[in-house]
Amino acid sequence: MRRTQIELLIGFLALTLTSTLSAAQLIDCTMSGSPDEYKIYVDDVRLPASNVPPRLRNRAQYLRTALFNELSNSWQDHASVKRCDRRFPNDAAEFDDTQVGSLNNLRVVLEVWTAIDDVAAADGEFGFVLVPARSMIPPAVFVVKDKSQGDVNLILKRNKELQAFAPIVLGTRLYQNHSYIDALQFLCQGHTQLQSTVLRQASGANSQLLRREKDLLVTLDAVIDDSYKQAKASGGPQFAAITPDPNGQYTCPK
Amino acid sequence: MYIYLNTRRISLVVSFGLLCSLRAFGVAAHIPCSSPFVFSDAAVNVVVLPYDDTAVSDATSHNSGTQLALLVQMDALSHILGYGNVGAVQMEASPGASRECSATIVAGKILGKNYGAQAQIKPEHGLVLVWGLMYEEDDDLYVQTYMRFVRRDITEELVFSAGDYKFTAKPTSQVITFAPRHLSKKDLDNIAADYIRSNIVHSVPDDASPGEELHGVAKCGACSGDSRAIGFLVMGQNGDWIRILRELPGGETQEGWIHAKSSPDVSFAVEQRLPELSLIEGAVGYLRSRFDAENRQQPSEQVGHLAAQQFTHFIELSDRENETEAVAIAKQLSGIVRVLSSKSYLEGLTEAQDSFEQARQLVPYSPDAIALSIGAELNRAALVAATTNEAVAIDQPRLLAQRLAQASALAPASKEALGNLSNYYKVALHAQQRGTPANHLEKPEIEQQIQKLDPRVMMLEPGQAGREPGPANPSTAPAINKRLDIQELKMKNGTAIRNTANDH
Repeated sequence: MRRTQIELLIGFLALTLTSTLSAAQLIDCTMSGSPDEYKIYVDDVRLPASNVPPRLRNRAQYLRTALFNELSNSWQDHASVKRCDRRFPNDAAEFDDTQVGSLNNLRVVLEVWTAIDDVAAADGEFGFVLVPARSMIPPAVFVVKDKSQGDVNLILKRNKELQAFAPIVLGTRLYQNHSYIDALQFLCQGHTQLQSTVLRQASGANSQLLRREKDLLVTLDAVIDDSYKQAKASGGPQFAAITPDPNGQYTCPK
Repeated sequence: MYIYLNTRRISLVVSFGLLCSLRAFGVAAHIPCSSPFVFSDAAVNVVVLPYDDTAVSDATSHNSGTQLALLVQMDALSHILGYGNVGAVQMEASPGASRECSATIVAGKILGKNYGAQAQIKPEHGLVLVWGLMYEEDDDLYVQTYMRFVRRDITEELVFSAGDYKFTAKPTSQVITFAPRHLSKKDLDNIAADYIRSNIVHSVPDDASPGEELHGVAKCGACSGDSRAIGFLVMGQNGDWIRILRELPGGETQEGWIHAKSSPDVSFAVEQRLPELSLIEGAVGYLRSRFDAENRQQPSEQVGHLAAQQFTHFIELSDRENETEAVAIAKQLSGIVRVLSSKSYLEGLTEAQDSFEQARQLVPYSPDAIALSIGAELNRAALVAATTNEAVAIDQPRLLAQRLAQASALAPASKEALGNLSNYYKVALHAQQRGTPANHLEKPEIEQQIQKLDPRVMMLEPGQAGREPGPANPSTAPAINKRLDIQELKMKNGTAIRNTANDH
């Protein structure tokens, strides 16, 4: 009995410790920023606990830096891109309502991470949390699985979602704030870029991701249509010339 | 004519009345990022920062980031000579201080937003800033280049005219992220060796005469400062030969000649691998043209042709799927240079409008792309009308109204976008409308729109910065809100305003 109790206690402590460690990886971002600005979090690279070859580690770091640079160069006038060292999710499911609500309160619009999952197979992933889109397309967490082998530039080129997600979240956030007119430029850019990414994806590749991205496009269509309608309702004369397509829906310029 | 000799500690200005070359050209290498330097009097400076290779552990790093930056500068050097009055600077990080080489920090210093530069870009002078990311693995180099082009304290907007009505437009963006590239370390070493061979300083303009290496790239990427030249200045030109004054450590100077045309095989090799070099060089030509135009001089046709060639070269070799916006901007800059430099205003506008329309199709969400395309088209139509003494003809007027309305919707705080829409209706009111009847605008509709738009245009402040989200970046707002009116420039310079189709 005594031995069983000890084993149970050890098991409980181990479970608690593991849970604590897992939850603790979503620590506060090391670069907090000011409360007013919109933020994009670029998390640290998640690696298996041990025996990660330096080459794989370096590749992952390069990919993280490339993501950071791309976001920073393109969006620094609209959102502050933060490098969040030692922060990463152990699992995409960690971005539950509480976690995403907390990000929303901090005015984080997008969180991205890179990870190596299996050293032997060089399996990796890119993860994206589209914070303001959670209420529209829950859970609004996209995980792109990819191999970390071969030409590292091809990995970047295969995962162009990032280009589209940043304007999408900025536009969505503004839409939710009822800033319909301000939202349009971001929504239209994001929609155009995501559509281009979806069209370029080979059929069969990441089919679940492809389906979810198509669902996101459908949601965006509705948001964009509503934004134009709201903008026209505001009475601005510039909107008078914008007319719906033959299906009665307002769309972005082509 | 002033020629500048620059040391790290002392700037010495020497007046050289006899050397009346208008093609003064400065080059500096190995400048520390912590105290950046530019040739202040140059119309345009290209500044190349070391490519960031910090993702690689120190044990495997071979200073390829610095080596590549030097090669980029050398390639730029060989291709921007034709523009004249330009400078090319390569910077390096001091040991343990790579953060100083951040593009934001260096730009802040040389554009006068922060202290710390040895010399700054002068107001209205141009800067092409190049930086990048690099990852080295065995013999493989993975490179991603970024570029920013800017003129200090002045907007890149320009103005098209349709009669008395003006249309304001500018390129879609001034920051470009290029697609990632792959080259081998062996490629890089071979290119570097070829550049060294082709960049020899001779005592006389003769390839057979004795000479020594100009840069020593392969040897001196990481060597001490003792052996490297700090910089050199072009004193004059004799055909393909350039006379330079080279500054050595210790304050010594040395005159010599370099053969300007690098081996075509070398250029081909590096530009095949890094096509962005052509856009970088074309951007120098664009800024050079804008500089001349701002000073009320028509940029020369040679400048226009050279820049157009460089943009075309980039577009042909680009990875269109992965750098769509870069391709669009290349087309826009090419169009702007064409219209500014062309001796025939109408011909230049026609060619430019074609480029602008192609760019618009690549980035349809860009209000600037829409404005450039339609502004140029209306200007062209108005010129034709002026020469034929007919009303301005507009094809598919309702579609153009929609597009300009979209541009205003996508740039809600922009007085210029709203003004473009309002002025469009004023042009359309008296225009000859072409296309299907469904695509025509009714007169009452046009008048109603003008009545509603004009008060709104008056309410907005000119050049208003973007609103939410996030704070607008104050450092990007130009201090001088002076726009280049193309028609005024052409009329001042007596450029032909004629329909060349009528020329015999």
